[in-house]
Amino acid sequence: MRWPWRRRAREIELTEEIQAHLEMAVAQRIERGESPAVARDHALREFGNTTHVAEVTREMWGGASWDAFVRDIRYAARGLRRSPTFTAVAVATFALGIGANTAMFTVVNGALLKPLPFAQPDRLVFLTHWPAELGASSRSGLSDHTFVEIRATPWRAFALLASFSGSQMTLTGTGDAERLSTAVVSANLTTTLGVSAAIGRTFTAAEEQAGDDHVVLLSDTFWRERFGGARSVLGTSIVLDNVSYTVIGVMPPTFDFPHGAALWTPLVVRPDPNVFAIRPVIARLSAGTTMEAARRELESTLARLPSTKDEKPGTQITAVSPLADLLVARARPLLWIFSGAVSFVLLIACANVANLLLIRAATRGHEIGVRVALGAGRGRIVRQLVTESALVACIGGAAGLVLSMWGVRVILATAPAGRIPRGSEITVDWRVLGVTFGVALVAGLVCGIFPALASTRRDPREALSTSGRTVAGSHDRIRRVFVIAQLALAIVLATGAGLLLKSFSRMRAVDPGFRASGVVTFSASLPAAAFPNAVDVRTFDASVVDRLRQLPGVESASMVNWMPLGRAGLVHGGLQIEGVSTVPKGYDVDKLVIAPGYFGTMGIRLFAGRDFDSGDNHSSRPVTIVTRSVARKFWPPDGLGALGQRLTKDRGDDWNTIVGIVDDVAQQGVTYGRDVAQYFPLTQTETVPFINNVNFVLRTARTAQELTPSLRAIVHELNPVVALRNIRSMDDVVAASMADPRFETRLLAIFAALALLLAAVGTYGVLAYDVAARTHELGVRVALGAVSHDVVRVVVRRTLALVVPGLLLGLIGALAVTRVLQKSLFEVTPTDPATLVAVSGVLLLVALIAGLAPTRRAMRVDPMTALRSE
Amino acid sequence: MSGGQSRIELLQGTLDFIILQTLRWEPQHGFGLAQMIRAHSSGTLQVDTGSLYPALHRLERAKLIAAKWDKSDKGQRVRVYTLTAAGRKRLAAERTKWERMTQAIAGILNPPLAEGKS
Repeated sequence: MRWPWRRRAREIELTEEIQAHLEMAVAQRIERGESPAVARDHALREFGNTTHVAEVTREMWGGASWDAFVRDIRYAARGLRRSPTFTAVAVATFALGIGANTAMFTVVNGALLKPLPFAQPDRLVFLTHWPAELGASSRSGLSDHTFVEIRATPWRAFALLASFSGSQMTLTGTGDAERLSTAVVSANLTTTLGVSAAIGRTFTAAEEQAGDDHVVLLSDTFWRERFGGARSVLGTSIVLDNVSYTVIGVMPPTFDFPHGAALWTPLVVRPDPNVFAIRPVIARLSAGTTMEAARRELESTLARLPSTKDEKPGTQITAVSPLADLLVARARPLLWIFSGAVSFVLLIACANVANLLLIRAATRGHEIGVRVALGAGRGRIVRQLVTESALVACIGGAAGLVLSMWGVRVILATAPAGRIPRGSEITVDWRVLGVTFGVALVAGLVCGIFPALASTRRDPREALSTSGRTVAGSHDRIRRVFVIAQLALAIVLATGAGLLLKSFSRMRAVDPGFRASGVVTFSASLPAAAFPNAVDVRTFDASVVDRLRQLPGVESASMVNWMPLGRAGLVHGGLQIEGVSTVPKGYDVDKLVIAPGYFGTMGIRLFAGRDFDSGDNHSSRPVTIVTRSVARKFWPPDGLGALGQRLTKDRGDDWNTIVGIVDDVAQQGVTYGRDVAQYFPLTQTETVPFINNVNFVLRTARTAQELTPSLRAIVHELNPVVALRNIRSMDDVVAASMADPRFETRLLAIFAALALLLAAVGTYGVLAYDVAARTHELGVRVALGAVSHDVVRVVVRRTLALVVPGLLLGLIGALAVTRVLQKSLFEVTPTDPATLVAVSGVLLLVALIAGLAPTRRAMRVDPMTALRSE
Repeated sequence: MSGGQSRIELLQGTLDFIILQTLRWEPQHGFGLAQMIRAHSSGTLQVDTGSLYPALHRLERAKLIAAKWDKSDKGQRVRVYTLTAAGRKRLAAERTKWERMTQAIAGILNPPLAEGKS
């Protein structure tokens, strides 16, 4: 790189050097007897083009000189200012293409690429030992028994082992009772992750003992919200689930593990011989250990441990995986699919700009010809043209960056909770900036180099002899190839979006077995410390239902321990039927506890028998209600024979008489289908954990918002330690259960719409230019007697020549790649013919609309003007 | 553009070699170099300024020649090029190469007259 000021001096020197050469040549000729005028003339002719000589000589000074660069930029800026329409369209196209990609990359970068915010995150792993029959992917961890044993084992591969699990606790004593997301963690979790408290300390091993575990670490957010960020919080007590905990520290703001925890309490592991509880286990690898070595050591150790040594070989999955997988594995495929989709948008944008540049170069043929004739080297002109497109791309990139910040906010705001991990780490950083401008530069170069080469290849004489307009034919084929490619890419995206849309509408059309509209629901959690016995819980639940029924505008009210379409905690179990010995192994039904009036309130059909009523209590005979599919399975054909029969759990002898048959309900999500279930009355339920996290349902014409104060008042009055959560309409619950597909559909639809828009602009551009360049030809045709529909036919034929190949290629492409959406599709195959047809129709329509304006212009061609303009 | 029928267009490497060779005798400016090359080749080699000046500046950048401003004998301020030490070394190498090549070509052109010096 030569410095600008030195460069300037050299320019002057070069001019002087050339001047001296000329002076000497003139002097020599005069000496030979030529007249001064003739001598000068001859010397000049002999020397050749001084500008050219200076130009090619300057090129020897080094290619990337700062000065030449600045000159190119200035020249490009001037050129762009001269054609504001081109500039605006090109910048807007790049802004959309790059903006969408930057937004997506910002998300991918924050969620997947950035290292986890822990010390040496690549040494952090999680352990899996899990029955193979339960499937590998969804859950990971070790059983409580195994965890206790491996912690007591000396390890070579693992320096530290820790566990954690997400939980919820009710905070009381500071205003309304509040249900918080919390976590219970091994004392050494923070050490394992390499994080320490911002103020105070983290847990000690002694605090993992039951009785000594009433200490709590606060998250930065919770500390600031609840305690105004006061350091005096250390040593004070807060009440969680009716138990007092001492605050021992506050974690730094960056610490968010597991995600969303407001506070952390020590994990006390009490292995229960009857329960196979699985907990995530993380570890820090010892220095120099590989993941594979760690896995082998884990495997050989598990073969010796009491809890696992009797397992048959091959029945378990044993794995050591990067911790990042545990956090982001679920989001990864989706994010990559979207990144792929959005890169199509950028490709389409690039094709658009390349086409614009080709057209621009064609109309500038004259200007370029003049510059060549004036002695500018081809390399120089190419460099200038490419500088121009790179400049456009960089301006577009900057605009795109601004757009993307808004886009990221929209993506994060519309993404269902937990769908995109590490949300707080998703920000524009140097990597995003670098990639954005890298992409912009590459896009600018790629778009620019081709038109630049193509437009400088022509002989300047040709460019100058024609007035620079009738070069329509040049690069025609390239432009058409670009448009066909755009249309094909747009088709692929539109097909993806179409499939998701269809799948989503199928989901919405599913009848869940209940009537959601007009139902308001909320959840309440009863801390075990405040409600130790089943009778306390039952009394509380029943009193709430009673009070709810008395609220004005409430038609009916009831409760259920599991909200249909809820997130987690549904209880399944087997059953035995009195007199029937043939219940198939593995036939599980949902076990739900309800208060009377639940079916009526939820609009679940009662087919036969009766609902529970006040006559069913702990002293009357135990009763149950089954769903229609259960009844039909064991008492075919209509299931009515079920009434009066007796059921019990797979073990045990507490027989329940069937008193009613109700409709099956989609309990776990509309795409799971409807569940077979068995209902029990609240009044006959003795197991506290079944009924201390409950949902109340109300059938009412009033909204959740209107009811909120009354609901809070009712619960608070009955017991102030109970926290209400999720006061919302049942419609919202249904919508929330479809939040993932809605988000995916919406995002892909936006990308597809962008793609179609850009492809339409591209098609329009080429057709409009076509018509403009063929004004003469069309004029001749009209002059020779062609009527307007002949002219229309010409344009339509040109349009179809673009659309048909684009459509075919696009459909082939779609068939090849829509498979990646398989997992997101419900009742729709990735090659759904109806969707392909619909998408083709949409594309045709878009292309015809794009062709409309050029066609009208073509029809209005006046032969006189058209012919005279030549 | 210009160029007579009997004149030979120079290959780039050849021009560099000729410039270095010409500068061996004395420092010279661009115009003088063009004159000397034409004179020494009895008018056969016509050096286009569009090749000469880029070549000079390229050689200067490669530090094979050095330039400084001076007065010509007629008082004209001129940019004079001098062969550097590196340039001398390069010239010697090029010369050997060149001689070997001309011998080879001569051998091909006149097979019976082996070892003839042109």
